[in-house]
Amino acid sequence: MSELPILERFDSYFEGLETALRVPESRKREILDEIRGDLRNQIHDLRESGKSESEAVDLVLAEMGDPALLGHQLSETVAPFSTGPVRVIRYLAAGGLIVWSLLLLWTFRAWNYGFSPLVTLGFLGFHLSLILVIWPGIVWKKNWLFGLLPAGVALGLLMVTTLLGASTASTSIEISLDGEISAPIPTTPEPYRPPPEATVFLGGSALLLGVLFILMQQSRQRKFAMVAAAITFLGIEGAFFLEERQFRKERDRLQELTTSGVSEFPGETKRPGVRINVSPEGDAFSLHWSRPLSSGFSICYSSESDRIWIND
Amino acid sequence: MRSSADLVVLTLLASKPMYGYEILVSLSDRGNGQFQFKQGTLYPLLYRLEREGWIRAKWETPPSAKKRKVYSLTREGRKVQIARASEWARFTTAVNAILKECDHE
Repeated sequence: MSELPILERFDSYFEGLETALRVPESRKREILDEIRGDLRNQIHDLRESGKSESEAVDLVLAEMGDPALLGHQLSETVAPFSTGPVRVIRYLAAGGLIVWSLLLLWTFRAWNYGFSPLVTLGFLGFHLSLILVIWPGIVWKKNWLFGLLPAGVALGLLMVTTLLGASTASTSIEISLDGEISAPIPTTPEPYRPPPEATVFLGGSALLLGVLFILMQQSRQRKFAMVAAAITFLGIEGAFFLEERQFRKERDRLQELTTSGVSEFPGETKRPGVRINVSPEGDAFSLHWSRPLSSGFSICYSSESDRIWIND
Repeated sequence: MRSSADLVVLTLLASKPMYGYEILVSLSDRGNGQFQFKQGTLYPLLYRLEREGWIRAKWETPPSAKKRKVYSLTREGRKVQIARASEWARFTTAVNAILKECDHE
């Protein structure tokens, strides 16, 4: 190596390093500029301490080690697919996914009555997993495969769970001979419980989220993701909790009226979003309450079967 | 070893912001020159600490020198440095105690 002219030895090292660096071009320039500047300073100091230029260059390059190894080590510290247009696309995709996830979470919650910890955790799990992988600079480890693998798994979970969720909305509608349509009563038990296969996937997505949290690069990102997930959960769940409490109050009030012998609720039936059917004997009623938070869904109650369900 | 290298670099940067070569010089000047990095191992370490969010880098051009990439500690890096320094102190105290006790036997 020292048989080459000094400048050539120096440049040859940086050519080797440049080839070994697997990072975006702008980042590559930055790394090379930094190291080149530092090495020049070191060579300058060595020369001042009495070394010849050739000796100084050899010493410094020997300390730097194999350029291919250094390039490989440095490449691992830089997030893949995180510069230029790809970065912008990832931000846009992550932003779109956040909006879509919130809409989906809201709709799914409106489609159910009561809080289901597993469903909530599973939904948050796979949506947050996808967002964490797509958002640039949060989750990556050693190479892009570590980012792609959880993304693929999360996407699979998303598709499967969405499909499984869709099959649980079976209801029965009874039409009597006089043309009256009675309230559709679901055949699935309330509150909603996911089938075992969905439970496995929901649990898996929660587990995946745990793995991604471990892979996250910075503890402040971890904290931010946890706080964002908690705020989302509390925001959605809190709103529906208050709404459902209002519904229960309404139901209890009607129940009291029924037990006190009132067989008609003329004032009640005229209210928008509320439909009350009373049995001819006046001892039972059904209540259909259009959800204020989600107009496409109604919370229904039948005093006869003492059940609550959701109509969409 | 990796953890102690992190602690040394974080501690140096806690005293003042420095650029890469300056960190190496400071290391050889302090601690009786016992702790020396090869330049080739410094950059992966610095970039890793930056990725963790413990240090941040900024290009600066001093009046009498060329452009340099200067590293400084972040708030989180400061917390990590304090925590690791405390762990290190506990560890060395424990090891020293064992060595002393065994010496007397």
